[in-house]
Amino acid sequence: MPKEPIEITPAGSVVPVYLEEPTAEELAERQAEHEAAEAAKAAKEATRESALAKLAKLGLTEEELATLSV
Amino acid sequence: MTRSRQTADWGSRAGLAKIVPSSVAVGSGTGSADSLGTVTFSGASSVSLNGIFTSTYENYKIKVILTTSGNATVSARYRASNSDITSANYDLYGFYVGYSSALTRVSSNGQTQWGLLSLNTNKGTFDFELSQPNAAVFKINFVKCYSSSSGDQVDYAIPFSTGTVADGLSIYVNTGTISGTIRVLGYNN
Repeated sequence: MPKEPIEITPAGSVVPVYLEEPTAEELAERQAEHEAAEAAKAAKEATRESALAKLAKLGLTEEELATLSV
Repeated sequence: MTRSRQTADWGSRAGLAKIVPSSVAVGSGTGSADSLGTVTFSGASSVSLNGIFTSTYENYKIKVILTTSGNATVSARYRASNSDITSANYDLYGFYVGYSSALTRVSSNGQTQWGLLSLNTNKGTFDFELSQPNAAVFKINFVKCYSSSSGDQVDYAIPFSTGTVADGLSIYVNTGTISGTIRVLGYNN
């Protein structure tokens, strides 16, 4: 259930400022999003490592590959 | 050779107008808005700007500069009537390139947020170009993001595939907090 916003407007702010703490469900959802993003990043890195390993077997470095024109 | 150029006298309607939100909400920490519309926040798990999109302007530029307290993904959502819009209409198409990694295509749709960029206690910039957020139309938007220390850069089209009218925007992290500033500018029609 959403919590009631609490006004925390500091001196100097020209508009009202509210504290709206996230619910437990929102926090869990954000954590799941973060884990999914990290997993996707790890998968990309694994693909890159695999490609580099294949290049090494061919006797090429990443820099040498970059100089090749297609 | 003299070249003549046709110009329009836009007067005070030329260029970009600074927009002051009607209110600001933070998930934790502190927030503030000055008379020029600069929203400053610190130690916030989220920062939400209400009442920034109206019928006065059709298109908007939003400049966000922030630092995360830890390793976290920075995400964004539209808001309506002081609440985040959580429908599965957030799409993201573009590319990601890092200092030490190759160009990677990114394509996802039907998400409940725009997951933009991971930062690890370093500064990031997020430049939004939003079209017609306050109109009941499919919205075509763009964002460029950059991480100051990792050199990661993303360039995305971020459509919002529904006619839901938005009047605000939230920026949040999945874990920890963010500190920084947001400025909203409206393109004069």
